[in-house]
Amino acid sequence: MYPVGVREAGSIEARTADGWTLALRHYPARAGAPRRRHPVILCHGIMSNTYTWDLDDRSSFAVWLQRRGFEVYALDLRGGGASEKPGLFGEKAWTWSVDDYIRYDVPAAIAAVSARHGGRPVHWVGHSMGGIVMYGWLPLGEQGRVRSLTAVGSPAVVPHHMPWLEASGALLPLGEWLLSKVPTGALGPLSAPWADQPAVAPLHILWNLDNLPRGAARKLAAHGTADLPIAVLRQFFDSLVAGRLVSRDGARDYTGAMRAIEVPTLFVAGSLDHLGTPASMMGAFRMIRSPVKRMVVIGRANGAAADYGHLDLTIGESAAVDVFPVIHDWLVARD
Amino acid sequence: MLGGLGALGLAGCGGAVHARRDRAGARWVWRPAGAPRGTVLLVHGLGTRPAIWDLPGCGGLGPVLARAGFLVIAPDLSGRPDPGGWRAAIEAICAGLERPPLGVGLDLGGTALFGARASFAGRVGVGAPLASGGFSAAMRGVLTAPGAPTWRDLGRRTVGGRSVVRLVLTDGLPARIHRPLVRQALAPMPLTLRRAWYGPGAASPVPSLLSGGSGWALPAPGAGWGPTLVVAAPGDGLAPPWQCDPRAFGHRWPGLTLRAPSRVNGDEREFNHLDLVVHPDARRRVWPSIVGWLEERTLEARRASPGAGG
Repeated sequence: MYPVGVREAGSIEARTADGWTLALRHYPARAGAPRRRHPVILCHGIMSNTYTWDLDDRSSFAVWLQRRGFEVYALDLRGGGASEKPGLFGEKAWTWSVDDYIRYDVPAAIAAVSARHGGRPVHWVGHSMGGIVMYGWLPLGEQGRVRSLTAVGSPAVVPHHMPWLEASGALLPLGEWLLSKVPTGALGPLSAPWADQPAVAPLHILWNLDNLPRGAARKLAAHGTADLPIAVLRQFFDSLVAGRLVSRDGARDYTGAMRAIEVPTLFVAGSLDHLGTPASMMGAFRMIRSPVKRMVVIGRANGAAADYGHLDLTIGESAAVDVFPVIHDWLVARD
Repeated sequence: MLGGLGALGLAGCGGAVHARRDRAGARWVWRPAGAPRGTVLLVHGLGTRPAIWDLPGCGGLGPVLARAGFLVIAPDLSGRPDPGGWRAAIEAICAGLERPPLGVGLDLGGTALFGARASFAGRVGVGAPLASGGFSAAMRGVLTAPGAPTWRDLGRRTVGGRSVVRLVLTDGLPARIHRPLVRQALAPMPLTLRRAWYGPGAASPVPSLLSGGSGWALPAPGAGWGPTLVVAAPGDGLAPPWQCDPRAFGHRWPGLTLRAPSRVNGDEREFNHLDLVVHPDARRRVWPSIVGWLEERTLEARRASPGAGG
């Protein structure tokens, strides 16, 4: 119903220390393009999958980088896309949290990719939560395994500017019940026909509808929505209230620990992004210790074709002109 | 919260007149029909004049506030070339009032309000920057232009093929508003004033004016700012929320209310900078929240000191 075309990428697997198998879609560097030294891992955000990076022929950062000589790996975090999901009768359950992404999925993905490229450190490009998990992992040590970090719409802390967001936390118990009955991955296709309705205010949190190719919102909702345990959602809601992201047991303050980050970092913010707001991205920019860091705001005031929302940073109408070259140039300079 | 939009004259241009406007030197004053419930100081912004609050044939926030029962004073600060001059003018007006007024400032007018040492019953910053325009190419174009141009003069400067004025001010105003705006509400922008905004950003990757040493003399957040409403639109090219929200710079600010007009918050459109004060949609979506907030501060002040008049 919402065609995304045929994906020609292969796939590799990564095994986490707690026994999950993750899939990384591999886009090998195109022959004839200048060879790059370090591989790139693309990590999607919350409730998403690799379609964030490769929706179709028109909107594919993965292919765009591949054509420019990078070995690209698009990661599906546990439970999402082609990665392992809990079965009906197995030991694994829909109970993981952001902590598990940070503690297990990130190092497993880096190890698997790095091992295929002579142990070289990787460039990590994360969209939304895909950058946040790296904010969380880097201070744990082994920063030398990451060549550079690009955080695309990845908020470090509040502030946000939507009063209804915190109020909607009251609906979490209902969400908990709903998610116990219907996986979020199923909600995506069900909601796809309404994904591009401007009258639904909360949808504007996802994208600037005026900046999406026709049909992209429905297509992404139908294919790009992953199943999500309520613990992950709850952890982010708690961070809204507390003003910082902490581990589920409260022992680790991920936001506070960001001060230890020394990896070269590029922050890419959409001027009209209501999740990774420029304000919250600037909070991250201020916080990290890296001597090499840069922040860009993609919007009309900086010459872009449009003011970018959260997901249009990867699938926007002109992302290949306004966003991709910014990240590419950063990666080449850090390579 | 509000007595109804009709009573405030928010129904459209040329609504029923319940307020009188006159000039007192360089000030515009709107007087309510009865005894004032309080005084509001309206401070225009960079490159504008008090006419921004009451455009000919279209009205504005000035008369609306008067219709809501406030005595409204709008000084013309456009001839003052530095933040100190803006601050001094604001403090001089406050010194002549019996009670602390409420303050409403547009962009640098709001920044000056926040820097003023006078007492306020509450302050509203509409697109009032607490940071330089460091991350915006369009604002760099505006803030570094030589001389003392008006916004109209800057219309030929472009970023990405589009006029910087359209990018940072407005690109959707009806002609009936755009015309009087250009003719009557624009003023020259001295380079010294623009440098006082942009300068700190040139020296720091995080261009905060709150870090001390800037000409705006902003006090430490939370220390004496009192109740504050920040109106900052994500679609504002001149002063978006990241420039106006002290929390973006790691400051806690008790008493801060942030209102972000945007489609994500149920508005029908994104608001660029001047849209917040002159666009027809602002009458329905922005002004009522400002008037309502000011009314609440007035009620609070009354409860704190019963019997106090305007």
